[in-house]
Amino acid sequence: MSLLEIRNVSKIYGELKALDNVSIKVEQGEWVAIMGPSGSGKSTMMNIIGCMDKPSKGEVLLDGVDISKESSKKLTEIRRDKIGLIFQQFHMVNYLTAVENVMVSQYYHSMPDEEEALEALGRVGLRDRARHLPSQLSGGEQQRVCVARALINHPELILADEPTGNLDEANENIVLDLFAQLHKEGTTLIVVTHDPEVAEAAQRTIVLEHGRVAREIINENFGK
Amino acid sequence: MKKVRAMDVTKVLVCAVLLVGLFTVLHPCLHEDGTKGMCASAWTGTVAVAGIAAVLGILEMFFENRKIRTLISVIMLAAAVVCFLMPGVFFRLCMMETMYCHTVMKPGIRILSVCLAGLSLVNLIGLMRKKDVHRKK
Amino acid sequence: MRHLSIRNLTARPGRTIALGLLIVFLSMALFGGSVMVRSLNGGLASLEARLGADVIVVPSSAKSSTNLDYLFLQGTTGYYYMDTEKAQKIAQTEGVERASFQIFMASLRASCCSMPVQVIGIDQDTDFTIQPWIEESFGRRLGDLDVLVGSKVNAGIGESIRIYNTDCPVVGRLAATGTTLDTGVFCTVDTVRLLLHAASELGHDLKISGDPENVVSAVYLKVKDGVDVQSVADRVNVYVRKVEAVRTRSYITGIADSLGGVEKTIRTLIVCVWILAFLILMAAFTMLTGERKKEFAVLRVIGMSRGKLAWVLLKESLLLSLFGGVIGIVLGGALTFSFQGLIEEALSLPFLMPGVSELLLLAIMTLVVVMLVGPMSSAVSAWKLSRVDIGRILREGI
Repeated sequence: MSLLEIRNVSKIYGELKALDNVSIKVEQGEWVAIMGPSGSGKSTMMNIIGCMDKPSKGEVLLDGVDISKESSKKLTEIRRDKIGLIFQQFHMVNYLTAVENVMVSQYYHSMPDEEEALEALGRVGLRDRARHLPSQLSGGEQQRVCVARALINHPELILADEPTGNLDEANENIVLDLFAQLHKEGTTLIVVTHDPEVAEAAQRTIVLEHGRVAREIINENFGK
Repeated sequence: MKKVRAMDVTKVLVCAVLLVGLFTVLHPCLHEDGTKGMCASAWTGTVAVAGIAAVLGILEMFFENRKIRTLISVIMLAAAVVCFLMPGVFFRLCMMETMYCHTVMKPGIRILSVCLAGLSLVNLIGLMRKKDVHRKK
Repeated sequence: MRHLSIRNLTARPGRTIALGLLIVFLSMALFGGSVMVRSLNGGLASLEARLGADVIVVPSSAKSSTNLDYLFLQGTTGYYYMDTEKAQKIAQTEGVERASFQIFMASLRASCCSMPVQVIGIDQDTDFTIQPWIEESFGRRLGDLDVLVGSKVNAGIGESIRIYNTDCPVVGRLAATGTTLDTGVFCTVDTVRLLLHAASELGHDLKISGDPENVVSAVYLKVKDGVDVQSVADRVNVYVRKVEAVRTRSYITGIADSLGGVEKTIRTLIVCVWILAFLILMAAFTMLTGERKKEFAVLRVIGMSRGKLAWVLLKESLLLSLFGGVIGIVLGGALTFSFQGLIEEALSLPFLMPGVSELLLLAIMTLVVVMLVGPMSSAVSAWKLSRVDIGRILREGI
């Protein structure tokens, strides 16, 4: 059974079809990139997969559960328990330190555990910056904290929206290396991006155009 | 340029308000013949102590040494307490509680003394906590 | 993470202080205003309890030496006397059940005190207005030259008050009434007569025509049950020359009307302050909603439910209301208590501060109201924020 299966999903806003009869499968442990220009529907796709929105038509099966029919409350639970989200603009809570930003994610899942949070920060190379506020961290460091936050509850799926969009090359490489590490450990990754170089880091790229799947590209050089 | 501490400035301002008040609104009772009432001693005492507190407050702004500043804060706290007790406790006020010294002078002095005492206490606590931080390091 | 609300409040001190100050101001207005209203009511009740008499008769000359309307309000010191024969005639008026008289005099500042005090001499055997209060507070009869002081006279028990070169030992202090009786000095009629002689010997003109032994200042009448009080007052005015008989009830009603007017003004002001503050708070929370959309979108994304999110916001406003409320109550109480003398003087109405238990009750009620209004004003923005479009906000970085 695939971890994620999107069947004939459409999202319609009035006259506009943001997604038009899209079908996608993502297997457990796969690293998939979803690419497309602005307006191609990738953000809509991200919202639906991330349980932040529901499709107008079709089904979305996440780990066997059809999330397209679930209530808002249930979607929040699923998002909390199964998905780790990473955004382009980091989105840390400004008045909490790095470790507290990670622990907030734990709090709504199970129980905050500072040591576990510090370990997660250690994995992304930021244990020594645990007590710093977001304003005291660089862009790359903030994004790494967000990665730690996304990982802390051991989600089945990491969903990243333009994770390197605001980073310089050096920090981009750090984040992509982290993703590679996570992938090796068996985490399923879906990275939404418009950058071909970021997409090339994945195993497979799904290209969206005008709300439809235009083509799929298998990365034959993946892992080499 | 030396950094001006908001707390020091606030304390000096409160002392200034008290002193200005004493020479304007917070005056002792005046009889018809122009003589001052029994409360004049309380007023004079408060002026003296408030003046000392104001001078100390200004001096504190020029010191960086934590011990000296702590000492000054302690003295200012004591001065505030003395000002509070001046009308009615250390010195008697006029006989009738409907008179000006009871209705305006005493409450005015007391309220401003409490403000000054509060600020001095907060400053003192801040200085003591800095000491703990230094020790831990 | 339980302390998310507190962390948010401390992370934005400027905003927290601004909102907090608004709540402090509200709570001060409510508590201070409530204490004032209760004090006015307490003063009126006290006045009613103290007056005792149905009719008070004073010489017509009293009109020129004091405004009768303020006889019970400002306690203007005055000298007015009528002879005892007239007093006896008044006491024998048809319909009168009991009668008693009092003699007033005023000291000069120079002789004893910071300002002139009203000395009130009572006949301990017949008095039914002040005597019960004296018995309540003091518990025994006064001797010659013994004086009791009202609660606002700053003389201690064991000290002496010097009136017209005569030392009068202070034997007791009476409980507060919130009326002008608090600034009075009370003694027997014999003591007053001694003082009148002393004043006369010092050459002071007390405007007494006749012997000080045969004068009184006011006669207090208790009317028989079933008899119309106004008719007794009218009879006195008709059959006894050069006196003014007034119903105490009409003064109480007059004072109650004035008091009603003041109370209405205070209550209206409180309501206006509250409506304005509620609207400002609501506007402030709504404005802040825009600032905080991203913050709450992030929390929703990482798994906070809508209900929990709304609760975080409500908790913030509850905490603000709690601390602001308590500070406001303390400040309002401190200011009202400190300046009660000034307030009393300005209002010229009986004013008796409530006791500790009543003050605590008013404080608790104020706090409850403040803690309801704070969250109510943030409820709309809490509801809106819990329904933000997470994906759009986080993508657009709003």
